[in-house]
Amino acid sequence: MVKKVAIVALAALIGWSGSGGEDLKVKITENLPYVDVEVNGKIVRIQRIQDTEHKLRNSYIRTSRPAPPFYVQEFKPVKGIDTVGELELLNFLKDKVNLDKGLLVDARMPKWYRQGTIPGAVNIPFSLLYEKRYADKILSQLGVKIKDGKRDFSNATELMIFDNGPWCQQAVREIKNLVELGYPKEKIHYYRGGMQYWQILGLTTLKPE
Amino acid sequence: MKRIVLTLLLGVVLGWGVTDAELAVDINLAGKQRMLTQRMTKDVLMVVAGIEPQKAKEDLKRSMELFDRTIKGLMEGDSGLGLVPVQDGKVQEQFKKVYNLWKPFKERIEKVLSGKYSKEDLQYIRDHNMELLKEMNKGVQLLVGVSKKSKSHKAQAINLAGKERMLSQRIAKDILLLHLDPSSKEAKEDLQKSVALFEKILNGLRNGDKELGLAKTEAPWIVEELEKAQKMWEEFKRDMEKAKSKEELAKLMETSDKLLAQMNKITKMYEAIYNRRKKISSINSIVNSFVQEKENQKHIINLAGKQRMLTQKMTKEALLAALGQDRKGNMEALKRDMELYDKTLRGFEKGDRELDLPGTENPAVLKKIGEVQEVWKPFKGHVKQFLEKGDIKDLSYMVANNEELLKRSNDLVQTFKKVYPTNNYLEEARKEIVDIAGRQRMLTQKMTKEKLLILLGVKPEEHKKKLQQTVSLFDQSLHDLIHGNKERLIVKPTNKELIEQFKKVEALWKRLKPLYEKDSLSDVEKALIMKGNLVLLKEMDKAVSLCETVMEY
Repeated sequence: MVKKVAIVALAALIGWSGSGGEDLKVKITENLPYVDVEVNGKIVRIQRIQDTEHKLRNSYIRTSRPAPPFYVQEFKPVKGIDTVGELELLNFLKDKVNLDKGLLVDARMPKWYRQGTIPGAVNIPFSLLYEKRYADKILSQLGVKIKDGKRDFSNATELMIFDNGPWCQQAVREIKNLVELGYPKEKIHYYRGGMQYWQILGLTTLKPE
Repeated sequence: MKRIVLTLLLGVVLGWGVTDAELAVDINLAGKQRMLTQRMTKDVLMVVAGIEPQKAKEDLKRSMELFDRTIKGLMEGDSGLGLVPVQDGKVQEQFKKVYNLWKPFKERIEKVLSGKYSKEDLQYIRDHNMELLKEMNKGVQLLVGVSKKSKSHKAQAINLAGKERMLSQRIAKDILLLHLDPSSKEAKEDLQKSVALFEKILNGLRNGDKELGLAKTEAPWIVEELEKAQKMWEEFKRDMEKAKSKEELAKLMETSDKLLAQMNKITKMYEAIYNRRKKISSINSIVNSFVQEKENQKHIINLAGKQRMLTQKMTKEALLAALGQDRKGNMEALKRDMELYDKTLRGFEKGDRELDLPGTENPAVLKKIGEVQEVWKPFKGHVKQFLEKGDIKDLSYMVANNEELLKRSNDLVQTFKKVYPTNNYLEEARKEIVDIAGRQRMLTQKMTKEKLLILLGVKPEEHKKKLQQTVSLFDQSLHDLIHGNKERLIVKPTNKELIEQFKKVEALWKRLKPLYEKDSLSDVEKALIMKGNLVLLKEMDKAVSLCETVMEY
């Protein structure tokens, strides 16, 4: 699906010079100016928009959507699943995703994903896991083997899953589906802030082409 | 057609045997074997030279066991090491060759470990370690070829970074050989070659090297580790020049091990990028296949919905032609619509490339198609007769039976909806909306047909009642589509484009509705209905497409 990758126009606004990030006005934390991630053969730098007057203009400025289905999600919607924030996600990209020890998963439907996602994320729409034949294929890519007719999760990849944000249920549905399929809870993390919080903080997004 | 071909292609892609990620593990571990041939030889020489002999023996034993397990794993698979047997015959043959060379080599190593070795044993190791390395290297090259990665910079980076591990040990081995036999021309030449190659590869990994097929490494976390390796290498080279004593040699061997560990870390990083990319590519293929299947299903439901509209449109066109209203145009339209209905219905069953229909073997769907055919076959016969002769008998048949055809066409839509279940609120709601909006298209044609029948004086009271119901249904459904209706699972749209489109339909409907409700019409008003119903149908069709495709409803 992702053939080429184009950094969303925000990168142009950032005015990043390719330096070590010391000159950035808006850093992620005092000691973390940016995080690099490999996406389809290219290195994408995740940092915050440097224009302090910048405001969102896309659909993420909306405060309210019809509920159902857009109810506010619980902080820990599934017992035993770790809920994380942006810094944990960035560390996950740095320490796990780049070294193929973890996968960042965008659980939204492909239409949403194609509008822009977190760099380094792979799209596994939550609804796909309802269908066994697709679920089995995806699980096999996540390191799940079949042993004596049963799923063996001992080498299953660590996952961090997100969607549009706290008002969206797609990640929660994906997590519930995975748990139902037997995926170990300790190998799943939930980034509840999702695309809305990510963009509110001016963090780089990517539009898969 | 594009949909069907794509689905087939994706199916082929999904049918892979050994995955590229598994192959990358094979490439890495096969590459590591090259290093082990040199490391074992180096350790043997350390034992002989008395340089930390105990540590060298322990290391030698570990290397021997790992080499043995890996070569067997490459041939037969080893889940513990993550190795899968490569099916390619040439690769298998090469690994067998390595294994045959390895067996006598291993016997000599075991003798060194037991302390009961002869000069001949040592000579054998000296003479054959390079052969073992060479043949192992051939196996690695074949594996890289199998993964079709002779052109892939990343697979080449895994291979060459892995080769650096071997070179670090080969260089250490040559240094020890020269220590034991300073006159060895062979060792001197090999050392020079290995040093030059180590430097070339390291530089290639850092800056790219066309000759080696290496691209410049861009990943900052690997670049950082390559810089560390470069510093270690420079330190090693400096010490290499002056190492004379056993202590200095021992320190040099330690640095060579650090260099090996560093190159091993880097190899794993390349392997990680390669594996991740392959994994993502496979996941994308699976997701594409899933999305394609869902799109196909929506497309089928949409076409089935359109069939309902065609049943009414055909009858309306026949009536208009009979009334002499643009007879030629309406007869042509009737022929087109009859052929389209027929082609689509056949397509549902047998498949139709032009219409992007894959066909079905689902018994429930086949049963319903059969039920539609029961009504459609005679209906089609009368349409054909009407097209040929314009006989009023055939028109009467159409008027009397079009609603049964509509009912059965609608049953088919509902069956498709059942066999293609959705599993979330939004998709379910979307499916309902598309169905209701799709039905509006049919209603535009049904009410026009009914109006015509009234104007023609065909059972006017009965058709007046029907028209009232049709108008009311269209009215109510349009209201629900614009404002939402929880009971009917219709979400109020928030998408600007969709809201605008519904407003357009509403404005058209406001002008047309009074005309449908009016008892007697002037010629101008009749003409307005005849033109207006087609515009309304077209705009409603646009709305249906938007309902189907907008990201945020």
